[in-house]
Amino acid sequence: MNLLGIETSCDETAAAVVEDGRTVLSSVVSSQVDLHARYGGVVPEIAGRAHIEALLPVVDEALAEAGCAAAAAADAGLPAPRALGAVAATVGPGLVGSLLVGISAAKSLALAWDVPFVGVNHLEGHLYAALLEDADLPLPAVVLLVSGGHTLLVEMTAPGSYRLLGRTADDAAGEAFDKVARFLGLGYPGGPAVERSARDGDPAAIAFPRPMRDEGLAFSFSGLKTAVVHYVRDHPDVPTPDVAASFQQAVVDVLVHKALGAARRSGARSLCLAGGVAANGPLRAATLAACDAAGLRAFLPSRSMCTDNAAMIAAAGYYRLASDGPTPLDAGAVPGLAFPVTA
Amino acid sequence: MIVLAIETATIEVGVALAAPGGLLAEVRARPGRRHVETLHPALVEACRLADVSLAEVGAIAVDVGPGLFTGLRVGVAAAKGLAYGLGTGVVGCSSLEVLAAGSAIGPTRPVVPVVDVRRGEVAWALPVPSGGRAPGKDASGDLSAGAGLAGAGLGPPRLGGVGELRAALDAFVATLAPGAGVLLVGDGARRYAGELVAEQVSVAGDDHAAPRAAVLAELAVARGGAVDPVLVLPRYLRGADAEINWTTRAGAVPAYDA
Ligand SMILES: [Zn+2]
Repeated sequence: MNLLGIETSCDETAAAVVEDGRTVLSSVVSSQVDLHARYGGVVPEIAGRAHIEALLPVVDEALAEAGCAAAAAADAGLPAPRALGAVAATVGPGLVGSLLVGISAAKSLALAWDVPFVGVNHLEGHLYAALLEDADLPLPAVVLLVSGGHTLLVEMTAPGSYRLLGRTADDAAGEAFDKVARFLGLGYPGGPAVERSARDGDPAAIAFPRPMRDEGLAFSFSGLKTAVVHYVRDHPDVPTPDVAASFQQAVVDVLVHKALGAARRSGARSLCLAGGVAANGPLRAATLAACDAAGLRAFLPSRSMCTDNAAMIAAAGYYRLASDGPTPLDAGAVPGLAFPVTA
Repeated sequence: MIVLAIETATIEVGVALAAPGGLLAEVRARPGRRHVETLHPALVEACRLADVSLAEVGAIAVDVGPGLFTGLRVGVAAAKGLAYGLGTGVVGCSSLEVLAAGSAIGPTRPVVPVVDVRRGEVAWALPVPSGGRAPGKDASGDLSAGAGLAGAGLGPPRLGGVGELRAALDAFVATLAPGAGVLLVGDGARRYAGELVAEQVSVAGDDHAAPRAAVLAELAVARGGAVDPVLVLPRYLRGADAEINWTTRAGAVPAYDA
């Protein structure tokens, strides 16, 4: 079954067509990052306006690329456009004014095509990056989901079956990158900015704390950010690249240490990164090295699968539809939607 | 041709179906701010009441505002999705126009639609005397009032505080014949009635507080002129920049707080 996915939870407008939850036929993302850069963060009203402008062009491109639009099917020599079996959209977590654009359009498309509507949890979507890009991924897997809004450790035993192992008690890892980047004057988005600056610095220059490193599977990054601020105030002459590199090293250490601990504890066969922070080079290198040492399969998503996209929403929607059936048309946006625990 | 109309510019949600012969069905709900939860079930219900399948719908009409930003985005996104999925066009109408058309009571009593756009501001449009201006597109690309229904067209939409509306009304009333008056309609008029009612200015009741999907559907049937759904966007009147301080205070934008 071909499923159209729509993702509008934050600052990317995305649409994708995925076959049977596994094969990406198309994936189109329109990023608003430039619109928000001068504010140093995502401005909800600007995001909502941009989503409604980008929505149809993005959906149209995704359907055409997948051969689901009549004209594109003719161009590709197909006898008929590929049929769509359902429309999925992110219902949360995210910005309410952005979520409802995708939800409203997805319900309309489902009604117009007379197919089911499926509401998808954005966090669940991120878990499918691994299955979409690595069809032979050995399960159970532990997924470290790290983004601007979330830091989660999840055990996935089968598609649609997961257990939450740990999460951040305060800031998300990506949020810590954003805040430190802003404090150091490195720009927005913070993750790539810190990583760039850190290339010229010494990751061992400053011994920043590793918050809660050896205390279970919960994370905390707010204290680390405060430590960076205090250190720089006490040492105004410290080279910024050294601060960036040492801060990044502390975050990576904690993330990899906990993810590995979670994989050991749950007997996982693979360890997967997911979310925007999974694009961070040192995090990827450290994860790979740790998995090699521990005899675990590592999965590192491609750059386009790290950031928010709709292929992961379509994949999650496929399994949701199979397990729960269609989502009722009176479903709303749930900005604070929690991670679904199903195992 | 059957038109399906979507109305979400205020706290009311409405869906209506109309054909050249008249109105087929209308569903109205007052869900507070739950537009996205309410709209599509209402749409299914309206089709059931009219015994019309979506495949029979030839155009989608939608209220593009001014109004509640959230409601407008839900309605416009829904209209875009439906029109794209069905392969039809979209007729976008302003909320002010739908309000005025729904309350027109003849040339002797001009109607001024006033929509509450929150944050202490209202949007309004003053009538243009009949014969003074042909219905059609105004300079900003918006469609002015439909002929036959509203009687007279509307001038361009204005945005401002209640004081500014007061001043505009005073100036407008001064141009009317002695003894004539204007009727204010819309939720903005209801909310600020205490500051707006004057000797020649009265405010219509709650029945005229929200634009009606039925009126929108009939306006669209009468007018036609559907365009590609990509081109239809909410008409906020207020820039996104004006919302930034407000959202920052609400904590939506990460602020450095160490
Ligand atoms: Zn995400």
